Amino acid sequence: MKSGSKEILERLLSDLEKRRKRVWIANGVGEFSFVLFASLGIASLLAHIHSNNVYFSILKISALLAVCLGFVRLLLFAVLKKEKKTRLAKELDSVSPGLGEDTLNALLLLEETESEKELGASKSLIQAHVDRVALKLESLDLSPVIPKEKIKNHWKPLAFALALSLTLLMLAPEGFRSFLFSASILPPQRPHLLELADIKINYRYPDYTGIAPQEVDGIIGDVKAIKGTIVSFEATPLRSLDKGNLVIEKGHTIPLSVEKGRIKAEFTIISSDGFFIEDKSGRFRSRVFKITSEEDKNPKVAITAPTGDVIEVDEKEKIDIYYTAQDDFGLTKLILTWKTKNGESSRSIDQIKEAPTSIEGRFVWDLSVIESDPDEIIEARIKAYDNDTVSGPKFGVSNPIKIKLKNPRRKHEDVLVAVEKVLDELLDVLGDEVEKGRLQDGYLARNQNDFSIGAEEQNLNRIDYTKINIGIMKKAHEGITSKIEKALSSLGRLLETIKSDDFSDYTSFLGLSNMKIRIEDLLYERRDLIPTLSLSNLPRLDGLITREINEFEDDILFLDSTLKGERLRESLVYGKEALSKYNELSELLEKLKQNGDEATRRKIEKKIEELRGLMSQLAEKLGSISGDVYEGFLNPDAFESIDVSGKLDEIMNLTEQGKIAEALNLLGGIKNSLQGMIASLESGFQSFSSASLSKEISKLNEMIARMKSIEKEETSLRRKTEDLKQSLLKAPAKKEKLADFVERERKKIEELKNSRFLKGETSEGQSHQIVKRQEQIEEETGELVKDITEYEDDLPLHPNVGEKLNESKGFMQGASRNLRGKEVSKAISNQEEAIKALKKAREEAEGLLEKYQLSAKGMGPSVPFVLGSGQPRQGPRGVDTGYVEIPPPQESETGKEFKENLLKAIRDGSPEGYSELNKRYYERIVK
Amino acid sequence: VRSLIIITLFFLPFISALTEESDFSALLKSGKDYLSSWQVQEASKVADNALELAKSANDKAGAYFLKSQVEFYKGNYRKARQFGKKADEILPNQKGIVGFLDYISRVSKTGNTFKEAKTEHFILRYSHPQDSILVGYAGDVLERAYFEIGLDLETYPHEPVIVEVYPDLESFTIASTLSKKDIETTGIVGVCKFNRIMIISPRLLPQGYMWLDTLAHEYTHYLVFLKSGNTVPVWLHEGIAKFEEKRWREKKRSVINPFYETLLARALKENSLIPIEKMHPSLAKLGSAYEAQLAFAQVGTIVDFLVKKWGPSSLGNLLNTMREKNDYKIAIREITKTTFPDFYNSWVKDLRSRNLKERIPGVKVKELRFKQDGAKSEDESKDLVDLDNIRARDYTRLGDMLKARGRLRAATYEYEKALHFDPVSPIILNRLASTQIAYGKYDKAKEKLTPLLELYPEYIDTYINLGRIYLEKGNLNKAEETYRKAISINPFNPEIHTALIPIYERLGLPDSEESEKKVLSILLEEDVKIKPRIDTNEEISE
Repeated sequence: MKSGSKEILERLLSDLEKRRKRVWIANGVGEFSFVLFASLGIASLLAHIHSNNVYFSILKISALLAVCLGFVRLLLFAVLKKEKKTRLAKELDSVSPGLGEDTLNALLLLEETESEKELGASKSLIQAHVDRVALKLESLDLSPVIPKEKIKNHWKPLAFALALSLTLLMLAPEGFRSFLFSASILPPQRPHLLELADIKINYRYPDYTGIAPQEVDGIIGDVKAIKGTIVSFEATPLRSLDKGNLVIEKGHTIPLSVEKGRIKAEFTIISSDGFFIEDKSGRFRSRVFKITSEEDKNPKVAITAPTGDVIEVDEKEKIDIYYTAQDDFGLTKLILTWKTKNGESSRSIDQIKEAPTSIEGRFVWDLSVIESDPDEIIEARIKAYDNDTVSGPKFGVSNPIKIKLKNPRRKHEDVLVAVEKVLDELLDVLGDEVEKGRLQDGYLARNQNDFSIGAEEQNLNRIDYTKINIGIMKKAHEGITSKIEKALSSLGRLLETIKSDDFSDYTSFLGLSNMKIRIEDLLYERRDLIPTLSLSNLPRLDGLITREINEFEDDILFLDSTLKGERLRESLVYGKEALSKYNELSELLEKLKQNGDEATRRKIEKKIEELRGLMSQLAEKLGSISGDVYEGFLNPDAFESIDVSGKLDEIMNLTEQGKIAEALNLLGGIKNSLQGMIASLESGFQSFSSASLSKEISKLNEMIARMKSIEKEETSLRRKTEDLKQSLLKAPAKKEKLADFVERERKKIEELKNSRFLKGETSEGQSHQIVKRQEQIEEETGELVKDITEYEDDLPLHPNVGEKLNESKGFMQGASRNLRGKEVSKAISNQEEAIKALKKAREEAEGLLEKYQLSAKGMGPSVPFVLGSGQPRQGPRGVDTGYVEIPPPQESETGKEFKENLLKAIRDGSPEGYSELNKRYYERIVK
Repeated sequence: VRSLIIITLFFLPFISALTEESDFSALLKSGKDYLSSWQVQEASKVADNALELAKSANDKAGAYFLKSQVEFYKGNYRKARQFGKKADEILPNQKGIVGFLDYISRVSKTGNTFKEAKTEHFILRYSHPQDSILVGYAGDVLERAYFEIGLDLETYPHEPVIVEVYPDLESFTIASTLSKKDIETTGIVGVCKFNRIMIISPRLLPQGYMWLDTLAHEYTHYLVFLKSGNTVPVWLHEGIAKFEEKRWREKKRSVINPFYETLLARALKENSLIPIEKMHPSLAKLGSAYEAQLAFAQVGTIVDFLVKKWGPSSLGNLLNTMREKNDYKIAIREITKTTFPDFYNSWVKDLRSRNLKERIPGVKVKELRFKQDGAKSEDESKDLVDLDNIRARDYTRLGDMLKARGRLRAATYEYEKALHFDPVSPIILNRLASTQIAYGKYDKAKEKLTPLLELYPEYIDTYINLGRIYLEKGNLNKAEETYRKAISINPFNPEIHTALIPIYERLGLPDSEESEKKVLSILLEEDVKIKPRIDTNEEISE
């Protein structure tokens, strides 16, 4: 017998059995599940009929029985079920008739063969039978013998049953559901209701809320208060209660104190919950009271100003932030926070002691403390903190404001562009004035383009006005007027821009302001003249054109000079910045020499790149310096080594090779060259500024010298008057005759020129001399006042200078009168006052000189210099533009306000009646 | 006696050695003497001889040093350096040798970059590629000077004369041994030294300079050196050179022009002539450009006075006598039969008799201004600093600004206003004229420019503006002549060559046209960086 056939047969049958059993179990699980879901679902559904413990118990038991039955019958049975050979044989017969029997026989025969019983057939036959059965079983598809898996075919009803039962379970009465899944068979015994009367609740609110304790009675017992409130619950139970607890559902149990039939307990509200009272045994319990925990709300804060998308401000500016903040219980702290690329920073706005619930305030934010890149947008908000000490302070955040720090250099560059624009427009106007505006033969032509222009051709004296074509001229001048208006408008915008430009100094600003006023005056005249232009007023037009040309020439030169100076200054600024970077690089190289770390090396690379950029900008700036400034004020030798790109590469290479000492050496050379260049730029800038202001400085010097001289003379005269007084005191007899003597001597003055009296050898002669000299000094002072009035156009001297000089003149006149009237002591007093006034005037002028000198050195607030042609300052609207207060250097931070005041002062002029008042004042002094 | 003989025999070798040493020193000295009088061939023979005879280390070092100097005088920088090095190796740390070597190595930095072009009598060297355009013009002028000035001085060099054009100020200061300050202050742009002529390229000066006259001037120095054997004092040297510098283009030699006339008239009036003694050791060492120019005017007119009064041959005779006597006072006395003070006084008297006038009111002599590389402004306002009157400067600036914006007529108006304050300023007049030309007022422009030719003959803009006028008016010959004058000041202005090309084309001068085209193409090429030649250690065949 082949052992193989036997094994095949056994294996096949064993497989068959296993597969069949697996299907039975799977089917059992499915059927059991169905029974389980159905039981639970039906029980849940039926639970709705009665809400009764007994009923619930019956339902639960029924359901459990059904489940257990199902488990045993359907699942356990399937697991324990054993395959019967006969049943299998039957099944096999259904596959192939006789197969079951053959298989059964084969198994029996094999069994007998193994037991070595006497067989009724030969072993060969048995073997053949077994072989045949095995072969057949192997060749046939035995799947029909395997029962069908129900779960595969019926998963949909099963899933439905599951969903339905779960739904029903969910919808079951709460008590039933919990009971169904509890371990008890019977429902728990519910305590008896403990009824409470005369409930009284006392709230003690947290201190920070500032709310007074509150007692509430006649209520149902629910509690509602802010978190942290201590609640004192008091009630009278309607049945005797010795001991008991107040039970917080999700929390702890608090023992009750019972006194005189009233129960009392205290608890703190922590969260929303419920509580009840029960006796110690738990048999009596009150209803559940609700605890509602109210939350302390976050503060509300808002920035009310400034508003707008992005607010552009100067980096040194201070901005006012207006805000409002509210909280339900109190605010303790306000903080301004802002974000830059460097991270978040904050600043305390206010520490509030009294914790108000509402605040409205203003905060001045000094932007100079912010470290950010130019043009970076900074988002700032206010955070308001409340006083919550229970949950910890809560904060509210305001709406953001977006701040953009203006790049002062870019701003200044904008100013320079605007200056160039005005320059271009004025050049255009000047070009038109010269080419089309002047009265010349061109206007005799029919066509404007036929002009033959050139100063050599122009001879206004020879022009026959009667031949001039008024129509053409009017048209040309209307064009010029509109161009002047345009230039004036650009100039106005420029002045507005300069106001917030830190780099523009007062020299430029005042110069431009004065320029604007002068052009406005001319434009006013032009507007008055051109519309009514006729042959009769051509000479007036002629005068106007001449003045306009002169004005525009001076203005253009002023603007040109401003631009030249600014370019020089820009180069200097870039040069200094580059030098500072070289120093930083030098330090980094030194550091690398010490530690040789990679981080420093990277920093060096970065620094070299920065320097490369900066040097290229510097070269660009130097290239923009006007040729005449370059030649006239700079030392060309200093700029020979400006191209350092190659050297920077070399420093980089040396650093990479570790030759730090050589790199430092090379760097030292570059630094030296740069220092030389900066020195040249500095000296060039100062020379240029000095040259620009030299006219004003020399005028001032001259005036101061004259003042000094007058002061000296007056002081000397006062001494002489003192001497005279002394001599008169020594010779009182002569005093009475002094007036007569003086009078007589005055008549004889010419004859006595060489007499001893005029040499001051007698008191009478002295007196006469003094009177004469006093009058001369007075005259000199008058001349000086007159000159100062003339200089007003070019030098914005403080009115005090003129006032004090006039005052001094008045005192001198007084002194002369006193001397003539024999009142020597009064004369001395007047002389002293005159000296004081002179000194004041001189000091004022010296102060102005100092400012000019500072300006010439490129430092501090400078004063205006005007390349004007000395036109009268009295404009058509009676504007007095003579003086504007110049703040000292230390006050220059208030630049914008100052400039605004300045412009206003220039525009507004003197108040009404001021001149008359002034006049009277001096008359009074003189009297 | 025996003892004496023994002693004599004992010391004989030493005495012989001393005699030999003394002979060798004399040999070296004669070589140096030849060099100092620029007899380079003779010096060269002595050096070769010395190299053969030298036995001791000292002698060898001396011979190599002499040879090194000779090579330098011949213009062979590399050889000079190598012989110098040999001398230094043999006798290290000798002050003279080390100093000379240092000088050679510095001057070689440019010397080794030189390219050469030869004419019949000259070797022209240049370094900067653009300077190659100078060769053609310089060669023509120098060859003419060779004959004309040679004829006057009766001297013709046997060897080709080396002419070197230096590409920058630094290299020129090194080669000339003049300081930068000397050059800028006195305006010395050429020197004749070390047996060669050295000039600064006119490319380096914004306005250029009369570089062709300068070449002739320096060549005159060269001839004076040769003829006199280096016995002529600097003032006379400069006088003769000044007297002869225009000889290549003018038959009549006249030193006085309005500029010199103004300087001399003022000096006579103020009694501020530069004393002859102050002109030593060099005019370049005078305190200011004004003094230097006055000195030139003085010495030029002294020579002019000599030639006019004592005849054309007096100059040659004076140099011959100088060579013999080595004393200018004696030579002057021999030629003029008067003492030097009398001669000098008669010159002053002659000057006074000419009734010289200050033709250019308020004339000032500006220091040289070089073009700067690196940080520089490209605008044309640089020369405004040369206007001393502030108002003139302001109106000119206004004119410039208007002109830059195309407002030509208005610009004219402003320039004319500027002229009121500085009536003969070549800066303002040229700006005015160029503006007038721009809108077709050629006659008026020419009227403004013509006086400048006499007053400021070195002002190149005048020639360019006049050239434009002649060209516009179709006067090709005058245009060509004017542009050629401009070339003699600054040939690096492309406009000149751009204008000359059509002029030559229309005049039917194809060679000249082609030549100008070539020059223009060189000028329009990008600057080529010059790489110094690498000094090789090639062995010298001795």
